[in-house]
Amino acid sequence: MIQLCSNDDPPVSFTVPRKAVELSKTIKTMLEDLEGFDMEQTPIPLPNVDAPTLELIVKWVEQHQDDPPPVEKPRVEDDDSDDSDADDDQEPEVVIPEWDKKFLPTDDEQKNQLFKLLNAANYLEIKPLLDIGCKYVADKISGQTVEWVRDYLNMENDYTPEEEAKLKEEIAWAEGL
Amino acid sequence: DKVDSDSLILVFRSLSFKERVRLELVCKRWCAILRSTFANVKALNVADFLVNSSQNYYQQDSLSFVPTVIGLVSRCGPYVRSIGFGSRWLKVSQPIVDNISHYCTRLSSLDLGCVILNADISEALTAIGPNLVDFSLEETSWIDQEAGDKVHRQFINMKKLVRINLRRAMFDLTRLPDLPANLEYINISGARGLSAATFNQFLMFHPNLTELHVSPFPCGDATTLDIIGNMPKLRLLEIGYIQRFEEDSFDLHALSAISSLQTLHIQNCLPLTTSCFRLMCATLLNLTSLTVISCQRVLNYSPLGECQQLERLNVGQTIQFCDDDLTSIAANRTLSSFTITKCINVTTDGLVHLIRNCPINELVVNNCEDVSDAALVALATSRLPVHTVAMQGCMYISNKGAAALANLEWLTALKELDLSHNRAIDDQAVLAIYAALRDAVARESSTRTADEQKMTIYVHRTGVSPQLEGVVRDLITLSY
Repeated sequence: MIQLCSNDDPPVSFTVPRKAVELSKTIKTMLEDLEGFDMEQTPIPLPNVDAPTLELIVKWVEQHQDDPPPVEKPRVEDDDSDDSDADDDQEPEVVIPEWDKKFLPTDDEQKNQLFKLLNAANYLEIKPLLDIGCKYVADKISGQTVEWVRDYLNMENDYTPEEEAKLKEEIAWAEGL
Repeated sequence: DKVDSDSLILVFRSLSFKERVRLELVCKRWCAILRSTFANVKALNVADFLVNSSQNYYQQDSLSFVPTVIGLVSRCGPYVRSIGFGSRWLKVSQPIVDNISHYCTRLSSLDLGCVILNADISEALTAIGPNLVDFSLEETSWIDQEAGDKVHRQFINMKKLVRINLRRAMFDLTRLPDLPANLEYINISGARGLSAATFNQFLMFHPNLTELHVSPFPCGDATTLDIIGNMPKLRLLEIGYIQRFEEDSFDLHALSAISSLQTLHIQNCLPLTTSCFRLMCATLLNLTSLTVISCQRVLNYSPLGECQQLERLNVGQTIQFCDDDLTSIAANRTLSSFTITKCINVTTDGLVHLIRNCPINELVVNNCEDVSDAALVALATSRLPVHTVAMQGCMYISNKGAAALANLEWLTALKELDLSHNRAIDDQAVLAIYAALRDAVARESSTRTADEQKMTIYVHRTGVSPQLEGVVRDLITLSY
């Protein structure tokens, strides 16, 4: 078992099976680097993750610890000499499994928890969790107005009215589609 | 709380192109991130981004899509390898061509087929021509013919070109021989603007051609066919619409020397005589696919039995093709795809013999009067994994034959069934196939993948009712 600590003061710690925790590439690499130390006794601090988010992460990795590992496709660097179309890196369509649909904090009041979860999944390199979370957000904002999206994702409009008007005119062709 | 950039990139990547463009208005940071996500756009079809509010063709002058093209290529231009206009007669203006040439610096494929060019593309071709591998000017027309006549002068710069489509080109092609020697594919069917001497010179300079489309035959003289006959690497030849009689000046015997030929398509060729056909069948030993349509001077099809590698055969518009010929073809046991159209001397007996002896997976029999339900019954009991069956306008085909297909051992392999133009076909036939398909799918449920292609049944001009579509929709697409 491995202990993970949140960034709260005082830290909240969770005990997780090693197999589950290794779904995080970040932690897996760390454990491999520290091979030989008794990691069972050493809590791992996670400076970017708070307790409620860590609780969700733990819940997810425990649920998915027996999943077959995702097929990793080597990323082809896009250099100018390569003219083949073999490096057609179209993202495969992500499908959110039933369990995950219920698991994701999808109520609008919980949206900040969802964003924290995405950022934590990114920091911890839990690719499948990040994929389904991003897919959820993409579906959510697809077809919505710019104002709605801005509000949903806590963004502020930093364009001057002139800049905004100019950009609006420039992308008018995409509006009617 | 804000979502960090890495996650945003993932979010944006599953949004459509236009959705990403729209969201640039959210804020400056998003705009920058969004514009970095267009690197995965490798192919662009401009027609996909046009709004057609009038339900008319796009070529109308009122529709200006210059802002759309600029919007597209200014974002993904540097990454795009292939660009096209959807072959729907869009009117392409000078600013569109200029912007593509300015932004799309890594373009290797340019499809200007079936567009109306209101532009001079010479300058653009000077810039992007040297990198093009694939170029189409199929049926392209120019508002200003003079601009079109300038294009062939750019051929000499297209050093990397492998494929070019000049079907029905109506502009000057005097410099056709300038195309690079590495050219492998050309479609020059029905092209005007070149002389026999130019065409001959082009053919002699391009020994690497593997695919040549000359149907209709653009032009030629006594030596043209000899040159084609000597092409060392030709794998596919499509030749047609040669109505000249004088065998001396236009001798197709030369084609029998192309020993590398695998696919031959001959249509409406009067110089193709029985003796010529016999020689081809006897000498083209690598031939796996042969199409012979409307060749009136072939009076005997029995030489087909000599084609020992033949996998695909398509014969049309002849009364000379008959059951005996099918018997000699069947003896080789190689045929997997068989298509006939208006061959009134092919009957049920010939087809049954073929089905019993060859690994048929595609059977297309259109407008053949003497073919009856027994042919379909034979197919259904053959245990062959058939994927395509068409019996268009065969007056003796009824529900009995069509419904027999429900007994196919590999019913889920059948993807296309064309029963159009058969008045005697109605709901009964479709329902019988549907019921059997439902059982077959249930049996195979464990091995079926989610993206399995549905079966399509074509029922144009049959007695199949429009209501049936809703009943069978889950497993069968009905096309009326």
